Amino acid sequence: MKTDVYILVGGQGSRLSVLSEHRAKPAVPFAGKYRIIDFTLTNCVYSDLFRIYLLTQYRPRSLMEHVGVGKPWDLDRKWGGVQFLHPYLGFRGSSWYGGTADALVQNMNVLRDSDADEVVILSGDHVYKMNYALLLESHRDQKADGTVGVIEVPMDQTRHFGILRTDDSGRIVEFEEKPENATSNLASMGVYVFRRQALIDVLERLKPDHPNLDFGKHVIPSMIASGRVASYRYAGYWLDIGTVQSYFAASMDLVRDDPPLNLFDPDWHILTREHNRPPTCIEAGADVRRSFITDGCQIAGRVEGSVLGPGVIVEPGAFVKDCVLLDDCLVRRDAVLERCILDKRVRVGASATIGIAGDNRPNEEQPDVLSHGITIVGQGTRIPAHQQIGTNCLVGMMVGPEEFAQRVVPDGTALRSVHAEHTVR
Amino acid sequence: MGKVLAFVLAGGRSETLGVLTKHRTMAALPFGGRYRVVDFVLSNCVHSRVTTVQIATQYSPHSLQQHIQQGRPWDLDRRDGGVWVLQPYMGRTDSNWYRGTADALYQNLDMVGTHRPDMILVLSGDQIYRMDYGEMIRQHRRNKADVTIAVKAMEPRESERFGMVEVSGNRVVRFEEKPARTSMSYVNMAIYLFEARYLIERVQACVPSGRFDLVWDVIIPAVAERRVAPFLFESYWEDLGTLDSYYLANRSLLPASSTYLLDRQWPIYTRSEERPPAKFGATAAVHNSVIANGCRIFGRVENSIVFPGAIVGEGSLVRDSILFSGAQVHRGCRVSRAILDKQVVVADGVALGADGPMTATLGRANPHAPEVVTEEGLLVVGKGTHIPSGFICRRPAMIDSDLPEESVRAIAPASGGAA
Repeated sequence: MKTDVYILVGGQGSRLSVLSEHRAKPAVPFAGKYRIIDFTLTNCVYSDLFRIYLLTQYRPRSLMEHVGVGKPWDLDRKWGGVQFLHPYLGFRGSSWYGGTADALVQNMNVLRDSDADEVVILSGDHVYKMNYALLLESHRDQKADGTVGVIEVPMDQTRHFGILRTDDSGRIVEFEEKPENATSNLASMGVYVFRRQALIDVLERLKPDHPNLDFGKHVIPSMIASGRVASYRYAGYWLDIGTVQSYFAASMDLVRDDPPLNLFDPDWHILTREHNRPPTCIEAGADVRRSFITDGCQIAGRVEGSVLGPGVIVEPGAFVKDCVLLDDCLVRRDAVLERCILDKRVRVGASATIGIAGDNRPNEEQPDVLSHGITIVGQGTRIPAHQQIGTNCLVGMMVGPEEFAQRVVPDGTALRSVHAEHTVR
Repeated sequence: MGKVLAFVLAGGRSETLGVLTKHRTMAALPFGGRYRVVDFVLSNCVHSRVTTVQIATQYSPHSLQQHIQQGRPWDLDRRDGGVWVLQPYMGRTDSNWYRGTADALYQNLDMVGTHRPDMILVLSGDQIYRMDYGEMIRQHRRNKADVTIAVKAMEPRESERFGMVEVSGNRVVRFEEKPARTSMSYVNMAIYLFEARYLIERVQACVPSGRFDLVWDVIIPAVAERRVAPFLFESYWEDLGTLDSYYLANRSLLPASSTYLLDRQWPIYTRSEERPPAKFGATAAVHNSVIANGCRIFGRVENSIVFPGAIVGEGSLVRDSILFSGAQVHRGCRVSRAILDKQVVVADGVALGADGPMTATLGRANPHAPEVVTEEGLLVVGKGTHIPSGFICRRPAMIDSDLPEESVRAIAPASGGAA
């Protein structure tokens, strides 16, 4: 059996605030050295799936740089491997991808020309370890037209998911996208297998009426009505890192002594593009505990409950507590950071304090996203010495030290650089 | 600058390191928290744009071969040039192991010749340094020498390990190999740049007549003929000839002593296994140490170098030690001045390296090998050995590789010496 994989990597992830302003959500760094897409790509190669298409749309540069020709995943192959499918202008004119399934419709020639028997559709936004070979096996056993990967979610979360009901054989009898009052807690993971011809047929049938064709909203319900759609139950760790809060919570889970996501399984090491870094140096006066630290860091201060990406420097006297610091951040002497997320290459001046609790007012620009006491700082921003920044603050990318007009940035403030305006359009 | 071929000598049987080099050649020995010794020379080559590299091996080459493979981590998987690991082979008329350094070159002259180099850079695979060979090559050309050797000013007290030279202007005028004492103040770093035709001619002349050593049979006669120029080198350079020098070179990389590993201008490239970031538990306390990806630290670690995937359990103290990849120290252990090779497992409540009688010798790796000496009083545990719970072993000592718990328990551990 031959199988093609399409991974949807165009997601904006707008509720990830500055982390996804300049990169697609699958390219957002996670767990120190990884990008979110690494989990899905690793699943593919461990499931012996080597014919992979990445459907991009929103800010693909960072992702393209990361994936490259796919070497870290052994996807630089003579046959198959990894290939990007970008939106393009065609003979009849064209448009951006209107929906998840529309992205496939617009690449119908690729789908048609393939000799694959099955097509796997995945999302590049999720963190999980799943063997798709078992899903494919179940799909074949059931002789289904399509199979949906499903997971049980807490009843109070059902309105965020596509919720479905199955009969005793596992066949899906009802599917509802983000229902207000769900009658089941079985959620679609956004992981699908289709018989290739069945998928082509349903896409052809639906596309004239649906410029925004979506797998959850249109394709699956239509297939349930006309064909045989099975379900495959998955019971492991699965997370859609959709919001700043869930990103932060998932990061904090990693530093627990018994993390729900085991990254140390020697049979399922997550594969990623590694940059050559020396091992981490912990200096004599340092105090590092409950933390997750990538190669290339230099730590002389105190780090607790935090996730550090490669090359982070924490100077003596500085205290980093319950934070996520991405690649090459620099925390100068005596600075204190609590509950913050710093994107790459943020520099924090000496004795600055960030995220120290005040009255916890929600953010003025993104109140829905930043209201849980987390402060987030965009890539390359330089925070001057002695600066104070409250909670629920948003500091944009590339803010220079001269742009901090006041010594204190109060809780819930949004501060953007005038020079970096183009990056947030 | 002309075509340069690097020929790395990595065949040596480094018995002075005992059980650490039982199954690997010195060049393949782990170093500095995530590297192998040979990474330093290979990184120097690629940073210096010397991209045709041949590595001559002989003694236990598998570990080295597995590490280098096609040379991808050093960008040496090339269409033009690249890296080769050369093994001894049997020919129609000759079938000899390499009988010396000159013989290793002689037996591979066909491979060397294929690349038609203008110059041949002969390097040693068991040294730690950063050097721009480009600078050496330019100076070699300016000096119009047939041979240039890198030299470093050094206290003559370690002279019996090295060749010592005297320099006058742009020529090396005297050369003594491993003198017991000497007045000369430059040490031969065993980094040689030859005009290719000169080297080929010399080894073709001396090897068939039974002279197999590059230093004795090529360099020293060339010095006498004033053909050899010096290249003065001033930065860090360490030749890892002994267990103590290996240990001290690692220790010199600790954060309190240097930032050598952190140089971003001249990074050291290596092949690395995929590992998650290092995990520090709630009870971890780490001071002045180097910790690589994939480690899990729940105990105390001081002045130590911990390679990828090693584990230090709760209540354990690891001090002044080196833990290779995948070494595990379980709970409640004391480990001091120890080198634990890969996959060594130390069960709960073990004490390794308590002070013992200060004998400096550790026995031999095999009956024919020289005595392993450690003035530093080290304790070395070979690859894959399992130390049983409650075991106590004083320093200095050497415990063999691949021993199951019963075998370790059976040895008399209280005093130092080989096991």
